[in-house]
Amino acid sequence: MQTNPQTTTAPATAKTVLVVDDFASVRFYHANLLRQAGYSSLDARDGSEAFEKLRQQRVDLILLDMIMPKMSGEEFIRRLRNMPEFVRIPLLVITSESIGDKIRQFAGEGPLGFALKPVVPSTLLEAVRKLLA
Amino acid sequence: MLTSTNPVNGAKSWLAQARKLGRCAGRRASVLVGKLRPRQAGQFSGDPTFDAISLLSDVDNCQAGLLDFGKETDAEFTELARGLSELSTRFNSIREQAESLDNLLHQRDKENILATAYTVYKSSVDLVHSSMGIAISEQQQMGQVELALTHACRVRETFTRNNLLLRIITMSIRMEASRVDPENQSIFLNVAAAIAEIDGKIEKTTAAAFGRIEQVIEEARHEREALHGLEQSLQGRAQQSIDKLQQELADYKTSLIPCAELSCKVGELFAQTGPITLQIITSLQYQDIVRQQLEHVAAGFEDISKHLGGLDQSCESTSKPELGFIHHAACVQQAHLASSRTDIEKAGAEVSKGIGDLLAIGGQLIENFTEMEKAAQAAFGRSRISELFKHEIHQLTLIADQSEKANSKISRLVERIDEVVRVFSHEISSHEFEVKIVSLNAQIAAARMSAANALNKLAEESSLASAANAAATADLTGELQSCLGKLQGIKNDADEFMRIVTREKSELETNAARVSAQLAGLGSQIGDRSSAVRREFTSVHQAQNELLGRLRFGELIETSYEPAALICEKLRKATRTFALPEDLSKEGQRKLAAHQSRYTLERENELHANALGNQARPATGSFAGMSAGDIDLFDSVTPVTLPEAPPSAAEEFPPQSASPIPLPPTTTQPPAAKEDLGDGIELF
Repeated sequence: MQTNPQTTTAPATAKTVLVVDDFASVRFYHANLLRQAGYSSLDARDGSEAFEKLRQQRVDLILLDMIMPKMSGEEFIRRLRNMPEFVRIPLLVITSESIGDKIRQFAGEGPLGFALKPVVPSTLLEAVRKLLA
Repeated sequence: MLTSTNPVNGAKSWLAQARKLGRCAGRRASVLVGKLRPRQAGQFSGDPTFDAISLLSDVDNCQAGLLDFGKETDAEFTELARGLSELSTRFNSIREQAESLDNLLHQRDKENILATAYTVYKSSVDLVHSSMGIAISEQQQMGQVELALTHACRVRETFTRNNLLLRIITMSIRMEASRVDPENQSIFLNVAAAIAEIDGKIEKTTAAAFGRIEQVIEEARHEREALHGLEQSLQGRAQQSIDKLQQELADYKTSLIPCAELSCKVGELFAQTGPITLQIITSLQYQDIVRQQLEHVAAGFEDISKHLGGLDQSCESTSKPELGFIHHAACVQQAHLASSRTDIEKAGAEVSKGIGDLLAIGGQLIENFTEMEKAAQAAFGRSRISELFKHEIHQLTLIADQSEKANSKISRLVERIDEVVRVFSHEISSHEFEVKIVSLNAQIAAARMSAANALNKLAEESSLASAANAAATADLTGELQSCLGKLQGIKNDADEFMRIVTREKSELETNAARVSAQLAGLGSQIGDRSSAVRREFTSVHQAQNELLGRLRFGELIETSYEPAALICEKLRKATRTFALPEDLSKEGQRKLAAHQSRYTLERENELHANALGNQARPATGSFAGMSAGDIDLFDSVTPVTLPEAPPSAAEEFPPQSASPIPLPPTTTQPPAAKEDLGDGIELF
């Protein structure tokens, strides 16, 4: 289920965040929170849909879940980091378990952040702000 | 008849005839003497013909014994092959069961239970994450609305000030009334009364409206704090549930580690069964080869028997060549008996040992499998995992319920603020309008009077106060509308979120119930299936042990080969004076060559080996690859090269290439089709 496009509108100068998660309510929450904080957001249900969005629009940050159908977060990161045009996009990985060390092994050198679910809005926004700084 | 044209030649011919007759007479005499001379069993009389003929009945008996050996060992080997097939089937059952467990351990099972359980756990975390996030976000937005409402309440000071001003104006008008003419006093007093009445209304309305706003603020604050408390409490509980589930799943994995280790051992044992089974199958095929060899030996014995039977028919022309043939034929049969005995003994030993080894491996397999099954049952059968999973997931879904509560609070706030806006925008506006009308009327009245400047001035002031109130009302309404808009936005988001989360919560609870049921059923399922497999294997294990215990082919070898080999030896010894190649007639040479070429089996062995080699598969089995269970005894061909035919055991009969007996050239046979392994040779 896609979140309401109306909720993703933001000023033209706003940074765009791509929310990738298979859980509709998580996508809604992240998009809603980002909109309130003044960001523009897109969402995708899995890795392959995320690549479609990346090809269509410039993205400043990706909020990524790791366990997803079709294309997992790990596969998405590996592919993303092998594409020169996307290699520097900051990634904020939001997972259900602490696997930061494992992710670092294949995440390359692009900006990377982690948050452990459930994560409160202030912490999430702070992590977004730091990665976009 | 002694006739010759050449005297020398005639003399030679006569001499030869005489020698022959003499020798014949001598032999006859020897036979007679031998017959008359008392002898011990096994001793020879000294007359080769007599001695050879005396063995005739033994030769016939041995011929029958050899043919019986083939039949009886065939029955035993067939039973062994069936047993091996049965054993393979049971190994297959264990392997399937072990694979099914292994798949479960490595999350390759069809239903993917552990992975599904983890997905459900992950979904519950996601649900908590989004629900709490939205709840906190809503609280923050509600706080902003509260602030805005509190800010809006500051307008109340303007209304209070204006009310005070209107009261002063009222008093001033009344004071002015005492100064004017009595006929005009009523106008002043009426205006003052009208303003006082409207002022009272305004005061009442604003008091009620602001009272409601303050009430809304207080209520919102209270609800927000209550929601925060609920959220904090649920967050704590959710975190506990998440930790419990995570710990439970981790324990689950840990408790399955022994299963995985045992699964590896089971896999290694299965890998060992492959080559053994293949070796057994190869050895089993030797029985058929040996049976054919013995049939040929029996045919050879029949030839010997015929020759022995015909010996005393005519000693004139056949005695020497016949005995020579019997000597050499006995050597050939003896050599082939020794060779085939080596084959059958080796094959029998290999089959027995192989099946014994398989049974031993089967025992270990069952032992490891039982341990694996116990470990799996212990892991899956833990009583609390299923219930705990269901319970904790349910607890987590309660988090989503708070969104519903928050949503209803927001809806109520929206209604209340909407009511306040309505009050301000309608009632106060109407009062302001009344003030304006009164002020206007007062100004008109003042214009008609000669000394009514004061009234005019006061009416203007009240009109200004009314305008100030109108402006304040407009501000307040604007702010309230803004708050209403924000609240409406929060409510819309909350509605949308509720729609999503209700569906997800429902799916999550359904999945949790399904996974819980699957987890609960796993232990007993594994137990039931494994018990059946174990029972069946134990039965086959016992049957095979009994079969091995009653195998008679060792005894059959003794009773068939020993007498036959002994007869050959006796025939050979009895006719040893005819061992030279020149003692064989051309007819004897031809027959003997037929005997030999018939027995070599080289072609069959070669074809057999080629056929096996062509269809060979890797001999080493593995848990994931081939194992005994993959071997279909009665359909596939085994990848084993047969051992070369054992060398001839004949001490007096050298190998074919070195044979002093001239052999006719071997007829070139057309190459056999791949499936044709030679007459009588068949693969299982």
